[in-house]
Amino acid sequence: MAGRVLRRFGAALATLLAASILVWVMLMAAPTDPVEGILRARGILEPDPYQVAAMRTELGLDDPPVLRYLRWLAAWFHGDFGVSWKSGRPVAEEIAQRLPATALLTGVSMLMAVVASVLLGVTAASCHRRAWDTVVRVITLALVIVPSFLFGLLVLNTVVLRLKWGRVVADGTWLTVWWPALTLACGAIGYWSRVLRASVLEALSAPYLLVSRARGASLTRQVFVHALPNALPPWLTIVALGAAGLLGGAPIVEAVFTWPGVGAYTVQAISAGDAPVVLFYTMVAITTFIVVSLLTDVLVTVLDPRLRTPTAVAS
Amino acid sequence: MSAMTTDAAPAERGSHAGLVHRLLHHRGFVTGLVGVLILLTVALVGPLLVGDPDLTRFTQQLTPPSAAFPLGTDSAGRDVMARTVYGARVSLLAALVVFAITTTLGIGVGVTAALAGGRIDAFLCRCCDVMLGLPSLVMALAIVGALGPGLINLVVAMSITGWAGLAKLCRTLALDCRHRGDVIAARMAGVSPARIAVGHILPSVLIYGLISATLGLGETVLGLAGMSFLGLGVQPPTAEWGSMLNASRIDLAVAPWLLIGPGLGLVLVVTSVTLISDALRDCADLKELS
Amino acid sequence: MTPPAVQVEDLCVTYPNGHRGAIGVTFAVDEGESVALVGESGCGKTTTLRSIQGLLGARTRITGTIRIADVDVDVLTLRPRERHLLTARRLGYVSQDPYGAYDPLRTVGHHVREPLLIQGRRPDAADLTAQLTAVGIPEAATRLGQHPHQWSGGMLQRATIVAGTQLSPLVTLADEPTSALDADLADNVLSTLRARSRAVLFVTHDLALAAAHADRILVMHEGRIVEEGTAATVLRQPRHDQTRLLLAASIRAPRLVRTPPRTPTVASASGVTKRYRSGTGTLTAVQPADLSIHAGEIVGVVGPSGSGKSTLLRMVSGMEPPDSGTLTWNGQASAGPTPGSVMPISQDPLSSLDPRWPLWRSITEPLTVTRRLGKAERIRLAREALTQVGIGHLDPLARPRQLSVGQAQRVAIARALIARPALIVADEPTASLDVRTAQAMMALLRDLADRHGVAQFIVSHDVALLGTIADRLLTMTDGHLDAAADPRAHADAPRQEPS
Repeated sequence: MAGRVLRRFGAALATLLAASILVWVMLMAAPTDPVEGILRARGILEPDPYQVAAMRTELGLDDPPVLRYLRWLAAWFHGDFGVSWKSGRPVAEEIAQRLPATALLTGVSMLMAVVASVLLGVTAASCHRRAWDTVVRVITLALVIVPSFLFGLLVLNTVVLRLKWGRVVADGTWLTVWWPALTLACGAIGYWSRVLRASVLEALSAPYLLVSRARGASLTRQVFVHALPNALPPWLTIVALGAAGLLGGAPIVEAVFTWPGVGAYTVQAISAGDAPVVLFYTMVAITTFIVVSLLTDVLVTVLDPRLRTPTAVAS
Repeated sequence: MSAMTTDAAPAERGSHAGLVHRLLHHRGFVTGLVGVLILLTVALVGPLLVGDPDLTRFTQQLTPPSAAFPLGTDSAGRDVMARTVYGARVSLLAALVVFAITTTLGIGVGVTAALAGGRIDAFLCRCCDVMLGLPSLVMALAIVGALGPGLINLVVAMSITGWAGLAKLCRTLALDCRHRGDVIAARMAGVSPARIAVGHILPSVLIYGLISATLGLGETVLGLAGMSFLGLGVQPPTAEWGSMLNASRIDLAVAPWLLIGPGLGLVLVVTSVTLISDALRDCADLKELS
Repeated sequence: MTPPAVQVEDLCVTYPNGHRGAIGVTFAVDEGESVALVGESGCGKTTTLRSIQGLLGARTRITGTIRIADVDVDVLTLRPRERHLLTARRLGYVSQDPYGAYDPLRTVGHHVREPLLIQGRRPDAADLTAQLTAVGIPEAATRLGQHPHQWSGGMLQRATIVAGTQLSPLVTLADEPTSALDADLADNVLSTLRARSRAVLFVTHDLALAAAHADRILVMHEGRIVEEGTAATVLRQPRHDQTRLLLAASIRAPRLVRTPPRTPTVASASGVTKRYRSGTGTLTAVQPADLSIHAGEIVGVVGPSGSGKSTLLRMVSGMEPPDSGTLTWNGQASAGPTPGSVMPISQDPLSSLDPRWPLWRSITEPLTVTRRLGKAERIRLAREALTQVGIGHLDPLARPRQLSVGQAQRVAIARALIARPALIVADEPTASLDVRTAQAMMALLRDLADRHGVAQFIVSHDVALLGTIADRLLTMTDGHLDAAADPRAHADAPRQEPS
């Protein structure tokens, strides 16, 4: 088992490194010269050559790319995430104010999605072919189909503007997180509960459940002792992939509810061509994604005795 | 729980003729197909029936739906109906282009890797693994960040991030084909590798590859609309559903009808596509592949 | 007189798709009796068993009456939950595939304890260990804590029997309890089942096996019981045609062992080996093996799965080069046989035909390598080839999905024959066929060897079936090919379970 985990850890590290090169080259070594854009962003509309040269030196743009990449990587390890081209302030500072709001949003949303999809998926599978199953299938299909920003706008329109539940301006605290978090969770709830339902149903039709049924096991026992544990590993993998999807979807929800998070800030940075900020958000999302999938993989390995211990008897 | 009967009855398999027959008897597929036909009609014929989508009328800002403007007007007094109809063109075309590029790339890379083997295979596989190890929406954001906002850049970004899963699948499909009875028999009879690839392997990989590619189509439409909603896709004043919804945000309190056109359009696209791809997966028995 | 342990009267089962699994099935199992329900796959024997146990889906319609000795009620009239509680204590259940019967995430001990836990009783660890030791499980105490994948199939099935008979049920129902096991383990498992049960009702397709372990035999065909009698009577004086067919299928006359004929060698191997990399180390699939196949003879290789027999077959067919050793075809050492001189028949006939191609195109594909042929000519040749394999009535323009599995396998054989090969290699050619079709297929292969002089190299795990047509049988275990030991020569020797 240790070997498997170690191999997986190595692969994750390699992917992270490859991704950092890919993203860095894309954003920092882009053919367009950022200097004019930066100066314009800072209000200098017609820069003279001295200002441009000074800027290039300040950003280290004249060094060879490999050196620039290595310097960036080293700085990254020391917690130095570069300077925003637009504001001239360190990215870390800019982000620090906004990161907690995004973490809160995605965290609450993740929790909502996991709880709701377990409830919906398991109950639907247990009531297979009965009314509740159909209801859940329709709800989850709708959740998958309706885009999150449309759902958000509908919530904003009906719940917040007309019924006056919750506040229009989200301020990034516990009080206002619920509707944005639900909006962000919607797609995940739909997708994850559909997967879990199918997964539990498949486990319920396994031959060992036929045996268990013959021994008189109750439905509760069939589902919770046998079917759910067997359905969990593939589902966990999907959830891990989806967790990063939430980070990708955060900018949209933040834009709908004007949530003061990193996502919306990054979108502004994209429009302004502020590469260090975009780079930072991308790397945070990628790192989270890779770490979460690594942890899930380890968890799945620990949960499955077939991966934990070798097969003793060839059959 | 199913009948345990394995008699010598003719076996139903994922053959081409059988597939079409089964699909036409699948309620979800037919519903989805009708949806797609409606959308295509709107996108192709609609523009002939509505007025100029970009014509601003300063006297008729934010008017509610009426006979003249069935979906009302927006803050610039533009006809929302006309903008929705023209927006369908942009949204559908962008989705189709992304679908075409990712499918071609995915099937091409997958089959090339499987047939070439050796170092080429190892290299392409590693590329796929890295792409799959990264969150696609975030990567698309980063690429748009590098190239700058705009519809073409957005399409490029979505295309680059969407092919790896399909490539892996097609590689596996093509590799499995090499162990299939008909391919082994052809090989041992001395049929040339090129003829085996064209006659036996490509047709089945193509069909299954296309079917599994449609599974991601709904997500593609949602992704494109989401990025446009963020202002990273189509730039104003061009009509597009995602950006129309974004623009409606400001006037939502007074003009909720702005959501109707683009909202319904998006839901119809994603519903139809999801119904069709689910039906294809069920009928072609792709469960084990997706 | 005491009532029978289980009594089934006029049982009819209709599946949601309209298929009628059982029609008017009536029988009883008395206390202390062992009854076998025998029939081909799809005849309704498993359906009958499952309707007694209450394991059919909610949308399946079941009529008739099922009574259990000490319960004064027709269990079919009860609600599912009540019924399960009632039957679970009185009926034991042993399923078909030992590995499938176990939740891979739970220990074997969990499964053996489960029947007691469900009834709200506390399992006694020492007692369970003793029970498992009694059915021949070594180190039972430690082994109970292991997971199913760490056990062998034979041991697992005995543990299933212990679990199924925990509550000393009136009758133990067993669904093909030995079909996933090797023949020598089957006897042992069925004896264990008999010894631990008050009465047994077991399902099998093997009439000989049934006769050896049952007092009474019920033969089922197309949902009905067509013959019933004591084991001896059914075996000696079968009345129904179906019984005779099953009898012929289960009691196979082994072909006499022949020394290699003095015909030319079509393929030979000397000292070939093959290794695979697996995870951390290498796995030797084939230890140095020597072999020669002569024109017109059928050489069979038997052995358990994973013994390396398929790898050997791929090397002999030239599809995979050996790591060391030499292979010769038609007396010439070369990298591979002449194209078309060795042709394959695969395990799964349906996937071996391109579903998009009409039969004529699949069958005559080998001919197109050297010649250009018109469509009309190819159709004519395909029709000829179909006639040779006994399905001349089929239209060469048909598509594979219009065929049964057996027909598809014959088409695959026709495609192999049309190349005029010196050798046909077949990996488990009957694995996906039912018993009768498999027998017919073997007869066809024998006929091809006799009439056309095509040598054949066939790999199978079914010793008895392959033994009916093979001139020589070689055994393979853990990569060792034993050319000297023909299993048919000492079939009556004492049987041992391989560990």
